[in-house]
Amino acid sequence: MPLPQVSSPYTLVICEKPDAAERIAEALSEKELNITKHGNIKIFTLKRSDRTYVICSAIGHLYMVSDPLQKRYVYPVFDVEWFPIHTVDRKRRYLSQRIGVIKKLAENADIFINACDFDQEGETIGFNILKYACGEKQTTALRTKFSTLTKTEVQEAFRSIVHGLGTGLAKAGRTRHIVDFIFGVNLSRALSESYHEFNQGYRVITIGRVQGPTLSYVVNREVEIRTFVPIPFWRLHAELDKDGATIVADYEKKRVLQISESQRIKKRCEGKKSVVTQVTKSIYRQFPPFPFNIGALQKDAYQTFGYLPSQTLEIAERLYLSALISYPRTSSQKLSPSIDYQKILTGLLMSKTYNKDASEVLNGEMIPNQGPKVDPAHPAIYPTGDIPKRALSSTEIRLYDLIVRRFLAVFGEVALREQISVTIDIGGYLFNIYGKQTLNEGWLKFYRKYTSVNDKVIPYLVEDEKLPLRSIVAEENFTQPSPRYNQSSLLEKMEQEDIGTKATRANIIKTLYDRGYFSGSRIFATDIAFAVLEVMRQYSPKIISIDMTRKIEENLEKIERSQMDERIVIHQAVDQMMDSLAAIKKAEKEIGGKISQAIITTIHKQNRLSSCPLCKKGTLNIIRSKKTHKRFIGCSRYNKGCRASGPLPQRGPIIVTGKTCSNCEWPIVYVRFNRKSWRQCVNTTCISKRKVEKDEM
Amino acid sequence: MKCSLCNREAIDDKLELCWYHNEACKKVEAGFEKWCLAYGELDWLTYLQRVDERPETGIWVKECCKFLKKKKNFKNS
Repeated sequence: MPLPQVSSPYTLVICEKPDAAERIAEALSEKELNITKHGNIKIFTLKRSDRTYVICSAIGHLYMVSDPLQKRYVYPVFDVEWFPIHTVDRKRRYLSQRIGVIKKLAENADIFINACDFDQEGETIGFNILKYACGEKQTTALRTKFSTLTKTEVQEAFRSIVHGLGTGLAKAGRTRHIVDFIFGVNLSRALSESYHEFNQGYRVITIGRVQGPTLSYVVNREVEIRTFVPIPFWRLHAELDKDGATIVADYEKKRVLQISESQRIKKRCEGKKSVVTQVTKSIYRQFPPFPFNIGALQKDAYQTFGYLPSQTLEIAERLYLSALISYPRTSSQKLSPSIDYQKILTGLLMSKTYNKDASEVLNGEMIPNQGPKVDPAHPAIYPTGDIPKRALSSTEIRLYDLIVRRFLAVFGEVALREQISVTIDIGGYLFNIYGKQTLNEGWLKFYRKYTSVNDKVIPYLVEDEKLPLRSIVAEENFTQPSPRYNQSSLLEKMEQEDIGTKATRANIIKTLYDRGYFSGSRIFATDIAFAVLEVMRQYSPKIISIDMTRKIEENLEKIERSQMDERIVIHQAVDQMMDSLAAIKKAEKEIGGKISQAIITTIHKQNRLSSCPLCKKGTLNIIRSKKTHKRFIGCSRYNKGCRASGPLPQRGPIIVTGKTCSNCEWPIVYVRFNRKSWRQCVNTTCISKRKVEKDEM
Repeated sequence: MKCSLCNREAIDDKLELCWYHNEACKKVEAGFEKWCLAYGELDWLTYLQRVDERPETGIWVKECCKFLKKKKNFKNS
């Protein structure tokens, strides 16, 4: 279909995503909104104050950094340029049409407006389109800034449009892409090439400026867990009688390190009188939570619903594009004073779910409890108060509810809680009982279902009260290793250490999974992770050091504030890479051997199901037939006569559970396919399967 | 030289262990003092056996316990 026939000149508005373009067009149109389609690309034309606006969109980045030679195996590469993505990545050839459309529209436009998201990535997307597709219009283009896609905010953003607002952001964003390319692509090519040099095979082995330190956190934790020696200790507690019921008091020392001491205390307490010596009550205030930034939202969504951080970001993006919440990629814990709380709460009044709570907040002082973190680009995440115009999915409903309730809780009163501490003397040894209860719910009433604040009620006890002693128990315990990271706690660690950006952290973790470095929801570091990290420690220790990546982040912030020249940061990155790459080049075969071995071991471990229930000597493994390429289960002692085997579904991932069937002791696998998942015993003659067949009949 | 317990390069010529298993062995040795203090008297082999049986013990520590037990039994025989 042809491009819209619009009388030139007109204003061309560049948006980051198609949904955002549609929202902006709807918000700006005063009378008629014309939509023309060029393939899958929608172009919106509207009249506003006698001026014609043409609104088009990118679909994320349309340009990327690459080397002019574009040879995947060549390294080092330090001379980089920006290229249209479709010329570098064949899978994204569909982007060429979009760039073509924007180029065509730019020919007759006289004013350009960058309406991409106001952050480093958004600015980079807009800057590149204006520079390369619109013919160097990045310096003259106007810039809008909005945090929600509601009609009022979009209209206000276009009224207060400014020139050159995000120059620093664009420079910082573009520098980030170049620096990440210099580190990531060079080192990843060096590792992949080493692997190729050793066994002539090809496998993508990546490492980068943020991937390096993230990998080292997980591997270091893995080493800590694998080298953990538990140390014994004893916990003592007294079981006391209070009006026929048993109450338990803990010995004042939480850990008794010697069995002899625990036995001595136990003996000395037994048969002695127990007297309440002290009852203290203290009231403390529990302040409302801070408004959500993306990190806190991802953490709470993982803990409450089990959503992965990348999944939360994706859902939040959808809610933002539906104008239900503000821009989610923010690190701010503050709500801007310009936000019209009254309007948002009045909007929430229309919903049956939030009607009561919203009206309560509306009748209060409406002063939010805010955190220390600031993001110059966007405020903390908040609901817009708009009513959903489409049916939300169950995941969207849950996340939206979490965001709305958090927003309401932020305005809630301080909760008042009472802590009761009772000390009991038994034969000269002191034991304690603690209780907690809520006196005034405050903000908890809005956010109760998402908090872990619980009351612990203890019986009413007074000083000098005598409680008959039922028994003293000395319980043997052992110290426990640090827990493994999960996606949420790893993301939190990255945030604490200030590596990566709020927008990229979740994807970095996902990449590390995709590369086979991590496995499981409780993150295990695979042998590949160990091998890659060992190579990096030896040949490029800086890439895994937090200091280097943190220094770069600081420098990028300086560029954003126009306090530093971007060329300095790029030169520093090149200098740091030179020596490392030369050292890797020299030891390519050795490195390749190490990584190849690790890959073989990891695959072997991942495919190993259990010991063979038939021959009892071999192991059952997932095998792929060389002839048919189908997967099945077979015993490692097939050559020695064991015929234990079983079929497997040919599609979807198969996860080894490590559990065996209670009926036949064959392994159970977890299968996921087509949004369904199930556990199945791999034995075709298992009794459990016969039962199912009978049931079906 | 390869590690006696895995495929990595050994760093300790005496025990023929890689860096990770060497670290695990060091922790096993350091833990013995604490276990002796906790239980009073405890012999080395019983200690290794009990550490090996604990579910929270690290996998490399378990491998080291078995390795050290074998070494001790070999010396005794």
